[in-house]
Amino acid sequence: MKLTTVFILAALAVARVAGAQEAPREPAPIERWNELSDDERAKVRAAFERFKTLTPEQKQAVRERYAKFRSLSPERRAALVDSYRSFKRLPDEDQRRVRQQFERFRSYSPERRERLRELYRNLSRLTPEDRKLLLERLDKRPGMTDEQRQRVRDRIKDSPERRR
Amino acid sequence: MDASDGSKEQYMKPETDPLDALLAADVDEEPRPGFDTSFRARLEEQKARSAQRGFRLWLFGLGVGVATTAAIAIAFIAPNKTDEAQTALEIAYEMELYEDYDVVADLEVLELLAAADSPKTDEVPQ
Repeated sequence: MKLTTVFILAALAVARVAGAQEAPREPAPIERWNELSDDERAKVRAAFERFKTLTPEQKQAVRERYAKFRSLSPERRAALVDSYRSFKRLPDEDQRRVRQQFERFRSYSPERRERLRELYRNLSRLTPEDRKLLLERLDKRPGMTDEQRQRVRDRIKDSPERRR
Repeated sequence: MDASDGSKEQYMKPETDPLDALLAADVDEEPRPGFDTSFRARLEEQKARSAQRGFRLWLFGLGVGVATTAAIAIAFIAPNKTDEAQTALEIAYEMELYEDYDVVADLEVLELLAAADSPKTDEVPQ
């Protein structure tokens, strides 16, 4: 019997002994496992399968990010879940594009990243006058293609929330 | 941000979030097909042995680490929580991306806007 199996068995046995001394007792792990549907069991197996392919360093990084996730406010956690679901709804090609953009964003200096975040926040607060000024400045800016200018024009007509 | 639906509120209660089970257990192998039935058989076998050999004393000797793993195992395989655990794990894998998702998804336009606002021509993305 592998050490891992012995370890889990021991853990389950301790849980059962400890649980017997307290009322009401939580169902033993094996009972909970038996209550799972085939689909739920498959998900548990898949989660184990993916996690165990990580290097020890990657596992540690995931643990730390999870701890961070747990420490966030409920609102921030809900926002992360929203972002995750928005990303997963994208077609594969768009997911690849966003990942590439993320790698670029990550390569920027902290100051430049913060400036982009501030720009994003301002984008949702643009008044009609702000838009007009911005478009004028854009038209005068050398080094931009017509396609790039049009992309910005299209975007600032939109509110950031419309994308979700 | 809409956090009003029930599924999102589940994430707001740490005690309902079983992901730490998976992360802390960090087992070498996933439950195999037939895990549940063989597990019960092995558990009964272990119980019988423990009665004969003082196995429970040894188990208690494993201490806090084992008990923690047990709690983790209980949480992780709890029914109706597998979707939450999976989503939480997915977020933990790429949390930095989701932290700045809005900015990253709009990065091309934001870079152009930043360039329009900057005197440096090299800030115009190519």
